[in-house]
Amino acid sequence: MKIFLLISVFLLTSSFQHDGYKSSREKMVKTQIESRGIKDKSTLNAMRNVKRHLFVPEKLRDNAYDDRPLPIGYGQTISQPYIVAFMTEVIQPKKGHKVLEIGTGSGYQAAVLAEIVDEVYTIEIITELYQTSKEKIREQKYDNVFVKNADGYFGWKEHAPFDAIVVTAAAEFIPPPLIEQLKDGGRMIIPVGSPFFTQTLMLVTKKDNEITTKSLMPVRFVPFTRNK
Amino acid sequence: MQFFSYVQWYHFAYMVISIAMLSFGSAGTFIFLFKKRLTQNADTVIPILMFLSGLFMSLVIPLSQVSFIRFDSFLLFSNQSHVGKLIVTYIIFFLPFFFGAAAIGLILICGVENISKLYFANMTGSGIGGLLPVLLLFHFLPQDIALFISFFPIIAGIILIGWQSRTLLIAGLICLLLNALCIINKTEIHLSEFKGLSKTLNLPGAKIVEEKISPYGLLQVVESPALRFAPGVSLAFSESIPQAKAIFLNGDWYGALSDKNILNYTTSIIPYNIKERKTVLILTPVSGNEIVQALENGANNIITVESNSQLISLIKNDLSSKLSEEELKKIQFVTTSPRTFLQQNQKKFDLILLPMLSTFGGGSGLNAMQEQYIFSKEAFTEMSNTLSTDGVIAVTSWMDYPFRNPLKILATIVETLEDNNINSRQKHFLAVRSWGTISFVIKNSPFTHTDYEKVLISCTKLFFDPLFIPGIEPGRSTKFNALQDERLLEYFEIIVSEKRNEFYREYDFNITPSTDNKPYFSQFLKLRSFNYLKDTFGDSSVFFFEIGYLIVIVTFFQIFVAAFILIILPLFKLGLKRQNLLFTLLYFGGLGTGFMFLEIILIQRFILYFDNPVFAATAVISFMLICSGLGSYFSGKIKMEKGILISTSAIVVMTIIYIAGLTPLLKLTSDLSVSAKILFAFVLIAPIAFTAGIPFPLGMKKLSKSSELMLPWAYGINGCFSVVATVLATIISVEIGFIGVMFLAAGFYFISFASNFAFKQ
Repeated sequence: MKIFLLISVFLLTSSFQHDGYKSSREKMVKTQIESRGIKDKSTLNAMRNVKRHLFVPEKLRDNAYDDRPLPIGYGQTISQPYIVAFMTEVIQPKKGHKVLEIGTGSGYQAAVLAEIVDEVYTIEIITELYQTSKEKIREQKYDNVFVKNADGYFGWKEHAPFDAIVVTAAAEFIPPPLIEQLKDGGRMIIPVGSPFFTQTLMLVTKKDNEITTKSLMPVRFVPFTRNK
Repeated sequence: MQFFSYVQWYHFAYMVISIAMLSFGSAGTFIFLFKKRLTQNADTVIPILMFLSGLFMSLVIPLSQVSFIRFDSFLLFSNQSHVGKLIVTYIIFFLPFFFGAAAIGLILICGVENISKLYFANMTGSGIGGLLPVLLLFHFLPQDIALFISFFPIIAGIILIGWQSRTLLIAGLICLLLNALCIINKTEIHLSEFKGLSKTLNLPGAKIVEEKISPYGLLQVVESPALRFAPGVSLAFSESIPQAKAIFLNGDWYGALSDKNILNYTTSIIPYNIKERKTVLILTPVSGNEIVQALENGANNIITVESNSQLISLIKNDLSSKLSEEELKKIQFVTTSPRTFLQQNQKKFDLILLPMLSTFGGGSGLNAMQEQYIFSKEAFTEMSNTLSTDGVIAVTSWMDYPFRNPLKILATIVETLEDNNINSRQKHFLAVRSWGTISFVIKNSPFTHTDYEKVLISCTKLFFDPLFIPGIEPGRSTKFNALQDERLLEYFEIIVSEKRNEFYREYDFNITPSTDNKPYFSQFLKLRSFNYLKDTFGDSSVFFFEIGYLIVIVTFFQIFVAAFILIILPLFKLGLKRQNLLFTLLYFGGLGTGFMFLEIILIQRFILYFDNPVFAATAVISFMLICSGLGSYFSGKIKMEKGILISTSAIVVMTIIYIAGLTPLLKLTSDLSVSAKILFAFVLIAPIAFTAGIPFPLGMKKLSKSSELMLPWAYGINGCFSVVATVLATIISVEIGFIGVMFLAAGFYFISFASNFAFKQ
């Protein structure tokens, strides 16, 4: 009887823990993402489903659903939820798609993508982060995410071409191998700037061997308009 | 400052050191509140204060690096615990200055009858103390210099004691021993994990392969197989991007040494596509690639100008391993400032290449408070006078959003052309935009139809978009690189038109061209727009937006509040009806403010003269302190009342003469050699500095005759106002320019002069 009571209490507290973050997650989607114009249903569902708090360092779990990036060590951050949602929506992910991510980081973006597309190939250059993110992705049972510890510059040729490429770590150039591994008609999203500063996202599209770019608004905020 | 610039950002160094300097005001208040006890036991107290000053000097860096104290400026606005850590860091750095200032203050108060000689020793020592670390920085790291300097106050305290007290002597020796232990047990220095150097060292196989220290900072070269350098390279580039070694200055990205030049696939190729450029002037290169690009495009005479000799040395060594003897003969390296070179140069150039503006992604205003004389209107005029018939100036900027850098550089180009009476301005410049950068090309003679054709061919090949080219089809300016906010093109049109000034006023950022009087090109923040930016960008992000200037404002407020408290506190003991309260406040406050305003502005003016902030600061600070020390010594030989009135009024007059005559004099002598310039700087600074050394000791003497109790308060006021003035001078110079600050300096000395009429015997 005592053991039964103990098990019941344990299960109750565990579910309470998840419920607590679930409401934070719902609130995050409503106030930070939907309210800022993200409309794609699959993106919104993915943001609701992925347990962001499990991808941040334990001491920062209570801040996991805050409207800001959080440090994850090694000078890297887990992006602000809105940026993750924005980047996801912009590449127009669909069932059947194969997506490459450069810069696994915490693994959160890969998990969000994995909710929508068939396969996610993600590369992380920092070994410690690769190990942590791989473990988290495995624990969350995202079997359609494949993680590699390598230099993302070279992409992942064996599984190219990709319907979309998400580059999470800003660089001063767009690696030619990634352009090559992007399918014709595919979309690549790459941030320009630093996570703590204002970030602008760049959409790169490839059509008939012509590469075009489009700079998108700073994604953290409402569109910047002139002060009247 | 150098240490903090390395482990954090320079701006936070500014904040921490400003608080530390407030210690002079605090020491004055401390002495005031406990005057009787301190002066009665001065023989014991002074050496103890000196020992503590030296001891804490050696402990500041180890303590600030302890993990639960060490703050990270990148996390200040997202993790409140770092605010607490910053406060603790303030206290740690405050202590050595406080103890030192208290010792000096007590010495001056106890020996007020000999204040002229004592103040002379203080100022001269400070002058030497300003010069010595700069010389040592050529060979030693800042943390090592701090340890070395920490011995001085302890030794001074031991000399003071002599054999009078065995206990104190032992205490002094123990302090020396503890300092020695700090040298033996070197502290491990931790950079912010978000600094460029830290992140780069996380790359696989990354290691520091070269290190050079100088007063400019710590230059480090990092190698890693994963490092590549190809800023803004065209998406048409399909080859492999070469590996590179990254250059860091004080932990921040500075440039790169790459195996292969890819700049021909960036917007910087445009001037070469228009016409062959035989003679090329490269100002402040960030890598050797600009030089290689010039060679590959047919240049046979390349002059590279950079004032940091260590960077020149790095680039030279790198190129010597890549280029042939014949190619190396075509390159000349000149170690001087770009403006000095332009003023002294007689040659004409086919191409003048400016350093790249901004950082990838637009940056965060980190350079806002840096004088960038190379981007002023006067600099552009000097450059255009150095061009050959079909020569061009080329400047590239990273694209930013909200738009700032491209707008300001265009405004500078347009106004310079206007000032030089060039009509049909639009035929004298063009621009080319890629996904990340925009390059402007400016010409004295109008661009021809052939020039435009060549640019358009280049753009199509490299997926770039041309701007300001007459006759291009609609939409061509955004064909390859669309803008979500196409108002950029509209803003460009307005800047070129007569509605420019109205646009400057309305736009939310400061895009008015910089001048030599206000050379802060990267200062974009308009204080009146701050609330609007906060609403748009959010509380926790706006600070990163234009953080350079914001840090100065925040520093000013924190110092102002602290100084206010320190000045008001003693009044509770003094009482508001105390005689000569007003005189003390106005006289010593005026002196402190006026002196620092003068010093700051002289440093700013001489930065352009030497185009070397380290030289300028060292020269001005050392000359001013040493000469004012001599003035203090001289003050002992003159009549008190007359000396005060004549010296303060003379400084007012000299400052006004400087306002009118300093800039022309500096321009006239700009082509002198460095040593001649140093001598000339001394000749210019000495008279005003000497005179400025007279009023303080005479004022203290005057006060001691009627209100001796006020002496510590006077010392504290002078200290507080000096520190507040340092930061205030920077803000005022950004808002109204250097000349405005000089007028204010004259004004404050006038206040000191006039306050004498409020003095009651």
